[in-house]
This record gives sequence, C-alpha cells and structure tokens, in this order.
Amino acid sequence: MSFLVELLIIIILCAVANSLLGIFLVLRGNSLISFGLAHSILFGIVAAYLVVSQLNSFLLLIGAAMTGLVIVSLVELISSSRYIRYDAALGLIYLTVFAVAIILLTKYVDNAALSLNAVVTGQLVYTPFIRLTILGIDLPRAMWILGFLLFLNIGFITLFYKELMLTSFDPTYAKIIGYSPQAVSLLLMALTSLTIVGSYSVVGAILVVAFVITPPATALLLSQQIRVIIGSTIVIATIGAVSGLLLAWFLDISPTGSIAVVYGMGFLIALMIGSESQLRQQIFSTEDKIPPPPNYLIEHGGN
Amino acid sequence: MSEKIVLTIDDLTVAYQNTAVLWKVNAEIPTGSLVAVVGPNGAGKSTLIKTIMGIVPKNFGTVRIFGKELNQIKKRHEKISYMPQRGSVDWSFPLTCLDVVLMGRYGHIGWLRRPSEEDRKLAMEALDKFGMTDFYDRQIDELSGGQKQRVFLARSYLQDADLIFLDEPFGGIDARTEEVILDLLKELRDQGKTIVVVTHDLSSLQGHFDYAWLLNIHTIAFGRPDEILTPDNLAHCYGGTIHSYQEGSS
Amino acid sequence: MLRGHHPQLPGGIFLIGYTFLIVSGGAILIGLITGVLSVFFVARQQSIIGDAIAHSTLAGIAMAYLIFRQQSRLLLLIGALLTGLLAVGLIQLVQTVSRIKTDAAIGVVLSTLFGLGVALLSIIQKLPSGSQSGLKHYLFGNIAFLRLTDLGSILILDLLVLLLIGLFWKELKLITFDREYAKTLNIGVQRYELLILTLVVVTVVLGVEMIGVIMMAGLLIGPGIAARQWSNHFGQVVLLAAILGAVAGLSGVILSATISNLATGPTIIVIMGIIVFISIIFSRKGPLLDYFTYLKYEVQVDVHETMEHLSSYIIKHPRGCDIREFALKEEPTEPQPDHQLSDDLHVLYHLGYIQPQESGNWVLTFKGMELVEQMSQSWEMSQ
Repeated sequence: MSFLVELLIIIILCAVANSLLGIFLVLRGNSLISFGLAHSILFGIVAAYLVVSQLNSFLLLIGAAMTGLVIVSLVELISSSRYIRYDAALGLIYLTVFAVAIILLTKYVDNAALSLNAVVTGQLVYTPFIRLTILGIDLPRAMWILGFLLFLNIGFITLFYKELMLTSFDPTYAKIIGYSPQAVSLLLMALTSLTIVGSYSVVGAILVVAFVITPPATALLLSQQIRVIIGSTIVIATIGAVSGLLLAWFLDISPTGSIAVVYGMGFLIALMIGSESQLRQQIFSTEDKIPPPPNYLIEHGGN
Repeated sequence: MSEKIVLTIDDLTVAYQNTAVLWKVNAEIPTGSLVAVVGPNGAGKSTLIKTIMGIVPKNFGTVRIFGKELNQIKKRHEKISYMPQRGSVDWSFPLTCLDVVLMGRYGHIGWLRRPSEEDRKLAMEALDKFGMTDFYDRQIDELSGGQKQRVFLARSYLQDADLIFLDEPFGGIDARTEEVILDLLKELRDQGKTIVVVTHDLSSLQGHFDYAWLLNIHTIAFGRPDEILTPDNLAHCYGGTIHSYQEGSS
Repeated sequence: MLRGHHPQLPGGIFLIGYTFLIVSGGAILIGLITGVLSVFFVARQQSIIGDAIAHSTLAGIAMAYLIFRQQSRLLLLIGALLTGLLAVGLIQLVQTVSRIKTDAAIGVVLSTLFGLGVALLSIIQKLPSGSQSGLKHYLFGNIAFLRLTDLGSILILDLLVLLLIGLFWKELKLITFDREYAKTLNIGVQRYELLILTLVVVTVVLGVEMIGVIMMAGLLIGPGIAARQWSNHFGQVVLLAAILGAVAGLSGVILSATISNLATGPTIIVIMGIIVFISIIFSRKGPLLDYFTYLKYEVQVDVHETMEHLSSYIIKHPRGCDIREFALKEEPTEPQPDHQLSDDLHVLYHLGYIQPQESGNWVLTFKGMELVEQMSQSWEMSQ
C-alpha cells in the first residue's frame, strides 16, 4: 500500500472509531468528558513511559486508558459533593493533571513521540513507519490498534444498542426495570478512554476532541432519526478526515489542525442548511412565510 | 377486615441540604386500589415516589413493598412501574414513539437481547390503547405535551407491573382523555394491580379514586375521598401553614 | 535566558536580577487580574467557557501574525479579541438555533478554532521569519518572553481592567449573582457580560505569553474556586482570588526560572491546583450557607432570640400558623413580596431554619423542626 493510502486508512479508522462513541457522548450531553479523558490519558502515557521506558507495549495502552478512566471517575465522584461545581472541576483538575504530564514530559522525557508537538498535533505522518506484523500481515501498528478499536466500538454499539439508548434517554426508568446506567456509562467511558489512547499517536491529546464531538454534532443538525444520525456521522467523519488530510498534504500544513477545521466547516454548513437547524428561520422568517393554521382559514372564509 | 397491604411506609423522612422534604410519613396502601396523592407544590409528592423507588435516598424510616425492601425484590420490572413527571426526560433524544413505548418490555427482554416481533406487536397495542397508533414512527420531539404524556402512559401500561406509580400523569391532557385514562386505570385496578397517582386535580378524586392521600411534607390525611377531603383538612394541607410535627387533631 | 543567572549568596539568598523583577512583576499582574475575573466565571458556572475562549485565541493570534507579519501586541490582541468573541458568539448561536447542548457546542467551537490555530501555526513555522516568531510558545508559555516594554503595556492594561471592574462593581456583582433580578432593572445585562468577556480575552492575550493558551483556563478558574472555599463575602472572595492568582503566577515563574527545563505555564497551573486542593481540604467546613442567597440578604440579627420567639409562637398554635403573621407582627392585609419581609425571617432563612415553598408559603426545615421540637420539650417540661 502506498504511503498516502495507509495514512488515509489510519485517519479514517481513527475518525470513525472516535465519532461513533462520540454520538452517544453528545446525546448524553457529556461530550466534554472526552476532553478530560484526553488530558488524563496523557498523564497516564507519560507516567507509564517513565516507568517502563518504552512506548510500544500494549500494557502502556491499557495502563494509560485505565489511568484516564480512574481520574475521570474520581472527578465525577468529587464533583457530586458540594465543595466544587461540576464544570469547574472538569476544567481545573484535568488541566492540573495535564500540566503535571507536560512538566514530566518536558523535563524527563527525550522521546520524539512524547514531544510537545506530538501532544498537540499527533504524529500522523510517522505512523506508517511503526509497523506490526500479526499472522503474517504487515501493517502500521496504528492501523492494527485503531482497526481493533473500531471493531470493539461497533460491537459495543450493536450489542448494547438498546441499553445505550435506554440509559441515555431515561436512566431513572432504566434502573427501575433492572438495568444499570452506571455499568453502561462505565463501559462507554472505558471504550472512549481506550480509543483516545489508541488515537494519541495519530492526532495527539487535544484535537482528538474534534473527532469525537464535531461529526456527531454535525449529523444531529441534519436529522433526528437515529439510524440516519449514525450513518451520517460515519460519512461525515470519513469525508472530513479524507479532505482534511488531502488539504494538509497539498498545502503542507498540520493534518490534525486541517481536519479539525474541515469538520468545523462541515458543522457550519450543516448549521446553515441542515433540516434540524433553525438558523434560516431565525434570520429570514417573516409573517408571510408562515402559513395560517387550517381552522383560521375556515373561520375567515378561506382567505 | 384486613386487606392485603402492598406498600408500607413508616416514619419516612427525607431531607435535602438541610431542608425537610418529607417528615415522618406513614402510610399503608392496600393491594388492588387506586390511590391519589395530593398536595401543594413542594409538598414532597414526587420525592415520596422517588424515595419509594429508591431514586432518592432517605434519611430514616422504612419502605416495604410486598413486604420486602426494594433491593430484595427480584424481577422488579414485573412488580413495580414508575412514570416520571414529563419534564424529567430529554425529549430531544432521537427516538420514535414506538421506541419509547417498547422500553416497557425491556425489563422482560433482558440484557443484550433484541426486541422481538411479539414485543413490537404488544407495544403497538399499548399505543393503540392510548390513541397514539398513528404516531408510532413519529419522533418524540414532534409531540405535544399531552401526546408525550400518553406515550409515557403507554410504556407504563405495557410494562404490566403489579404496583404502578404515576407522577402527574394528567398534565397537558384534556378532560376527555383524562376520563379515558382514569377508566383504563380502573381496569387495571380491577385486574388486581395497585396504582398510586400523584395529581394536582382534586376534582377528579371523587368517584374515581379509592383512596386519597393528603400530603404536605407529612401525611395530613389518608382515606376515602369523600371522608377526608374536608375543608379543614384541605386548608391544613394547602393553606400556607407550618405543619407541626405534633399531629394535633383536637 | 533567565535560567542559571542567579548568583547565590552564602546562606542561599537570591540576588534578584533586574529582568527577574520584570518577569515577576508581569506574573503578579497577570495572576491578579485572572484571579479577579475567575470569580465571575466560577460563580456563574461558566468555567469551561474560559477554556474555550483561551483555546480560540490561538487562531486569532496566528491570523493576526500572518496578516501583519509582526508581533505587535496590539495587533495580536485585536486578532485574539476577534476570535475570542467569535467563539462566544458561535457557542450561543448554536444553542439558540439547534438542539445541540452547551457541552457539544463548546466542544465543536473550541476544537475547530484551536485546530485552525494549530494549522496556521504550522504555516507560520515554515515562513522565513517563522522560527524567530516563537509563536508556538503561545501554547505553553515561556517566561523568556516578557520584556520591559511588555511589562509597561501589561501594567497599563491591568490598570484599565481593574478600573473598569471597580467602576462597575455593583452592576457586575449583581449580574453575577442575581441575573434575573438584574434583567428586570433594565441595566443592560448583556453589555456587562460583553464587558467581562472582553476583559477575559484581553487578559488571555496578556497572559498567553507567560502561561500559554492551553493552561490559561486554569488561572481563569482556579483562583475563583480556591477563594470561594475561604469566604462568603463577594469582596473578600475577589480580593483573595486576586492574591491567590498572583501567588500562583509568581511562584510558577520563580520555579520555572530556577529549575531547568520547566515549562512555565504548566508549573503555574500545578501550583494553582495545589492551592485549590489545600483550600478545599483545610478551609472551614460545616453547614455551607447558600453562597448566593447569603449575599442577597446580608443581615445581622440576634438569632437565638428570634428562634425563641418563633418557637414559642409555633408552640402556642399546635395546628399550624402562618409564619408571615409572625413576621409582620400584625394582621396581614395582603401578601408581601418576600424581600420586604422582616429581617428576622431572613436570618432564619439563611441560617436554614425555614424555607420558602413555590406557593409562597414558608415551612420549617428539618433543622428548624428539630429546634422547635427541642424548644417545645423544654417548654413542656417547664409547665
């Protein structure tokens, strides 16, 4: 496979894996947890690296994901107490954890994969050089990991579809009839955490949020039917990733930034022409354009 | 004559951030009855239901359903059903009416398995009972308030539990539909189910409900509507007074 | 540049260098101002918006540089201001015009604008002048950037910010804690909110060189949270937040200067985090008075006496009584709006003995009932 094709596949896998989970995070109103997870995960990666001194173990992946999950759970716990309000907790604790990670990174780590640059933008263009052979097939490691994660996420959504929808829509009722919203939530967070860790080498620790939130948000502007939402999220995520990457390729700019901007443009367009967006009505509506209700016409002689 | 008691509440007290929401509430609900819980805003009616359901923690007191504590009840979806107030759910969620009503069968279906054709058929029947058949594939955010209410009711109905709690089910519903629903509830009561309804509408109590429960942070009165809906009791419940923990009845 | 240039006298006393004074000054000033502003954010539960604004300014700064090819602070400030306001405007717009909730709106706008900034930065880094621009230090901050001329403009802008806040103190306080009431007063709530946001953007640009775009949000949240743990008086909170912000800024800069390879921004944030942690753990606990309500009704009255009056009144009326009668001490003619009720009721309310219901009635709280029960028992025993 050519270099560019491999890049494209990797970025598409990354985009779809993240945005699929993002659909549910956005629907639950909890999408910024991906921000918090990404920050905490960097800490996990750096800490694990300092202990293990190499970035290539799967244990690192799991450990970092768990660190992210643990920190997020702790924050959820603390924020339900009276001393700190939820959004403030989100902002500060993750930022502090992230800051510690950056300090450790700049002071003790001398690995290009953990440079400031890598953290902010990821290193998509280097990913095809780190390869992994499984069952005789030689592919970039990121492709294996993200492919596997995509498979996991699709499996999760398919198997737990009704549990996801139920616990997201009406967690109270879910508990009453014997389901566990906490379990579903935990699973969702765990998978998100894993996916963000897996995406780190591709898009870094900050802009991954763009992949998780923007394509689903865009899809929500286009339709209110869940099947269409899921389908269009996948399409938007893919097309956005591909065009962003190609744009970056030809303009020689950061691919992650470019993709984030393309996603944003897509969102803006959907905001303007999407059927679920009221923008046009708000700007252009005048009285003439609103048809009178049927009973008005009857009362006033069909005028 | 001792009827079977399905729900026993003893000295139930719930405080939230130093505010008493429920204070030493006592009650015994007989099986197979239609009970209305009435009281002013902030009286704790919704909290009462939520505490019984285990959604809100209690400070002290006991609640026993079918003689057991809540967490000792197996197959809860068959025993208890709860319809929350309309506002407590995210109506912008991308679900159709059928999707929501079908959730009434989820307890029966269990983890990981998908709803079957049979489940769908039953859900459509439930929708039909509440006159919402044509809306089955409509998105829930397109519904009017009363229609949303009926979808919720259909879900509860489909669940087919023995003890049913409805929190303000008549909000946004016209009088005719309310009559229809009350008749449905009586049908369920005749099947042996117990139904507890939190409602604002005092006028519906006579002639429909077996028992009325006047609540304002603690029980003011409990009994047959014509017996306990006296002007005195009503003033005490609604009239802007502080309720002495000493239940003076002189 | 600054690291390793501190001659130590015996006994470990630092000689403070001229540059060092400048940098410290800058750090204090910036910490001060972000501290003050953070109170407004935290009180209104809009902390994450500060984060979004900070991230979005990167795009503005980069664009300004690309267009004008110089690092004039004024130009960069204008660029940042534009994208900062754009970010806020978009977030509001999205929520008004669609079903998308706050969290996703913020996520989309934040990531898109930050992505734009990152993309533009990658262009700038390739320009011939790019490598000297050091714009990438805008991400995590670098104390080496503060120069004397910068200090001057920081000071001026700081004073301007403080002046504006001081001038509009009453209005800002009201808007922060009782927005609905403020709206009824027709004082142009949105103008003041715009003012605060503008001040935030200005501050972000001021601080961005020192602490970086990514970490800036920490200073816009931390001081507010920490200060609130220690006091309930608005003025005290603001002052304390300013001090804590300055302390965090200064210590971060000092540490960053003395220890090699320590990025400034993250250091400041870690210190801020420690301050917040200490504040939460060690400040006085006990029943938390409702922050906002207390500020609305600042009263001093003899509590015990009032409760005694109230209890004896209640005991004499075992079937219940209208507490408003008690408050007005005479026949009530018509319902009084609650901010005209007596001071006594207010005291009881913010001490947690009574509580208003939606219907306009007042009821005893859990605590109140217990106290009345106590007092009635001692009254009965004395009969």
